Amino acid sequence: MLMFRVRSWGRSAIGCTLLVWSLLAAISAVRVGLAREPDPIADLEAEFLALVFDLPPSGLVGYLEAYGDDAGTDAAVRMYFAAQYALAPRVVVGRVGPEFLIVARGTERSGGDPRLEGYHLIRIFPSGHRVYRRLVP
Amino acid sequence: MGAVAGLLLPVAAVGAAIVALRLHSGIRSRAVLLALVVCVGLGLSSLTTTWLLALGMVIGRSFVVVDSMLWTFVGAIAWWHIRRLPSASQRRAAESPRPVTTTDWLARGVFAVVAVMAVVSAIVAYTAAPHGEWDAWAVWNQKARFLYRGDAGWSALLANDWSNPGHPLLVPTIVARLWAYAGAELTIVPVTVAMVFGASIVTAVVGALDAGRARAWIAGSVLLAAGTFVQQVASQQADVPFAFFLVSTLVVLREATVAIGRTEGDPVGSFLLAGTLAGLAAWTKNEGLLVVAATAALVVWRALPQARPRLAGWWVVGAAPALVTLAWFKLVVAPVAPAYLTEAPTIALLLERFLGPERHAVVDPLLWQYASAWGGPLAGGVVPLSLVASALVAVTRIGRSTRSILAVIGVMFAGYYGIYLLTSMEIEWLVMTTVDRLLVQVWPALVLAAFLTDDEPAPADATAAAAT
Repeated sequence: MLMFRVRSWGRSAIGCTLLVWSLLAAISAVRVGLAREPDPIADLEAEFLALVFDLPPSGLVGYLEAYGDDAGTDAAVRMYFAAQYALAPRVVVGRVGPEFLIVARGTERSGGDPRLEGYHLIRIFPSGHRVYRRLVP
Repeated sequence: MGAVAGLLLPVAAVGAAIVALRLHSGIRSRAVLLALVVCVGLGLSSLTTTWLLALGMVIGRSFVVVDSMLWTFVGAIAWWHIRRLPSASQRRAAESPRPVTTTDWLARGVFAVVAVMAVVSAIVAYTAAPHGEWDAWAVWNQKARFLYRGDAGWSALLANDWSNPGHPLLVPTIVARLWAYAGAELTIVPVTVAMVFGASIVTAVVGALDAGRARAWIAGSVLLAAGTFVQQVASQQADVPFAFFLVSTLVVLREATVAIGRTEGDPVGSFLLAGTLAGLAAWTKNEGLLVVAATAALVVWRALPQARPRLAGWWVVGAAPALVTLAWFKLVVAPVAPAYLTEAPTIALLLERFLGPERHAVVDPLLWQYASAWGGPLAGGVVPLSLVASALVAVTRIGRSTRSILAVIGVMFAGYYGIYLLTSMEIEWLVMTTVDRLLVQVWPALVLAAFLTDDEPAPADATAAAAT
């Protein structure tokens, strides 16, 4: 009988501890969530959606990748992936070659980027992104 | 409104079909049954969407017409069959409910507050990131956009290797299908799908532990107290649906085992449902093949000693639709190796990676570092603590179910660990970016294992036992 009561009290104590901890952890999670900065994807998506009228409705679209120290950074990769997310079902490939080419802001080498040879500028958008088209298909 | 109809149609049809075919007879908890009906409905709607795509249909208005006719037809046939079943009076009488104690009310009250906090956390996360976390918009929702926007060219979603073209399509097809019903790409759709799966996980775990007992609500509170789990629900990735299919497969197999032991209820339906759930796990993420392998072994372990191989056959029947669809997708549509396994696993490579000390020296401390800190604010250490608690239950005479669940979790962990050893990707980066999500996959099963006991003696029995 005593054994059973000890076990029962032990279980109750563990249960109460878990409940109190759950409550505190849940409150902490809400506080951490409230302190979070807004995700930039919605803004990036809106920027790239503005390009759709200057691009074909489907097929390959080139994307000029960042160069030097900027290449491969989270910001550069996020920008490229966001372009694909916004512009599906077009397939945005991270290279030059396709007839249409997106030059996102900050990706072009200053003083003339040799990768843009053969392309001409179609439009510059307020976001700083640009769309180029190849002169000879 | 249209998306709600798209969600409810397969759920209602699958619910009616489960009742009509009496697949639910071995499942004692209505909460578990509700969670199963909702998520199996969503899962099967993903399969039918994929089959319609394979037949050349595009996701648009005509798709909505065909899809809604299909599910209405299934529901109508099931309803017609239900009306022919014997009346309720012939079914077994419900057990009288247990008296609700102060402890029960306390546990339920705290759970309610924790659940509200979890919903608030998810809404806050959605407000900050309406498109979900990185992999949600770069992989899962992006594929849904290709399916929804791409018409006949939806297979263009396979073009970019960085978006993991070989990943199974459960989440993207569910989202694209509901967008088609809504007639627009609403960001509320993928987060609602994620929250439905998250709520179903909690419902299944609480139901499996018997909602009449305080421990079920304590387990539900512990499950939601891990902020990382709640954050992953709002992240709109495939790991939460996967976690549902894993834990519900284990719950249903446990119910089947109990039904066999009690010789009440027909376990055939439970084995069929368990197979369906395991198959849908494989159709959700590549890791689902581990679920299929581990639970198949569990089914054989359970069915063959009972001299009932027919039960294992029903498990195969349940798993077949999703596995055949997966095989078609992997072999015909997207025959590409996952990014983390691009090297052919030769014998020499396997020996070097598994037996050589170099990889273990890198992977082991990294895993311990991330796994021991997993859980979110004030919840670091819950994974090792839950493992210890589960192990303590497993070694007792009432820990048979926990031993089975831990065995499956062990297979899952072994699979994850094997991939970390084998991968040609940078290990630190891979562990850092995946371990949170992998632990979310097993977290509900781990909580279930820590709280589950078999045939626990009632207090009166225990008193008598103590007196003797």
